[in-house]
Amino acid sequence: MKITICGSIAFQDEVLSVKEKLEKLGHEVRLWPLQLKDERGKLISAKEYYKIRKIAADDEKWVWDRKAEAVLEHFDKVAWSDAILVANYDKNDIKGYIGGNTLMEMGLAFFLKKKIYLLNEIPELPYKEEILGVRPIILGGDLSKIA
Amino acid sequence: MKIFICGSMHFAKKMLEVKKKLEEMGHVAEVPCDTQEFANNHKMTTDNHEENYKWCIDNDIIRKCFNSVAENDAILLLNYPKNGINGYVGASGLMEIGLAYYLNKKIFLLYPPPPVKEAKYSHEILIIQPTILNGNLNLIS
Repeated sequence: MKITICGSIAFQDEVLSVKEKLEKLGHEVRLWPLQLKDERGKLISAKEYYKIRKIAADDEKWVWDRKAEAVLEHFDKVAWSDAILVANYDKNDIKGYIGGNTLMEMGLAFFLKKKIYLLNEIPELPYKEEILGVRPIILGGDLSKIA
Repeated sequence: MKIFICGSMHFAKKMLEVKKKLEEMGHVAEVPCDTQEFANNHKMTTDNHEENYKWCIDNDIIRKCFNSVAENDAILLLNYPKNGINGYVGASGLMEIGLAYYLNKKIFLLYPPPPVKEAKYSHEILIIQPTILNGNLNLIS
């Protein structure tokens, strides 16, 4: 199956491990780019970019331009896939956190009639109903349930 | 222009008012399919999450709204203050903005989204660069 992983760069190490496991299971997997260009066009790692973005001011144009590009690129990957896997690890003291960007990707996947897998349980967030509304399949950490 | 009006159903009555105004301005405006029900029935509320979820699932509301985003030229999100948050955008609104961006539709917000400090998702909205109307529907073009 063609699978696009969605989630936060904060969990890149975990996601890379998930990608490897999925590939061993015979799936074709895409995720966000591991490198991006900084304001001078120099390639930096996604993790480095994430660190910069976390403290970036609203007017640091190149930072937000990269993010806008990444949003659209990832939407295209959602469209390419048969299914998305939301890598929802614990974040900000919330179990199975899902952020705004990932929520948009889940919405797009639902519109495009893709399967939506959640790696972990549905988070207790004010928008839990909307997450449930796009009919995700909860894996409980078990990738072999993807079919 | 064909415009899909979206936002929290808490503002169903306002949605119908804005629809009328847009039509008077020469636009073709659509509201979510359950707007009239919410406007007419004071017992229907977005505050009861469980009931609201059941209503959305039973009536396939999320998909119907997404299809409306796809069928129109633009979306207009009525982000009136809610829950003490100025420019409130709910999860459905956020998903509709993302879908409209993917489908290359025009995106109008009636008011600026909440400050990033209050709502982290505002970054996602701002990088999409919607047109902020500051309450003025005449700015729609």
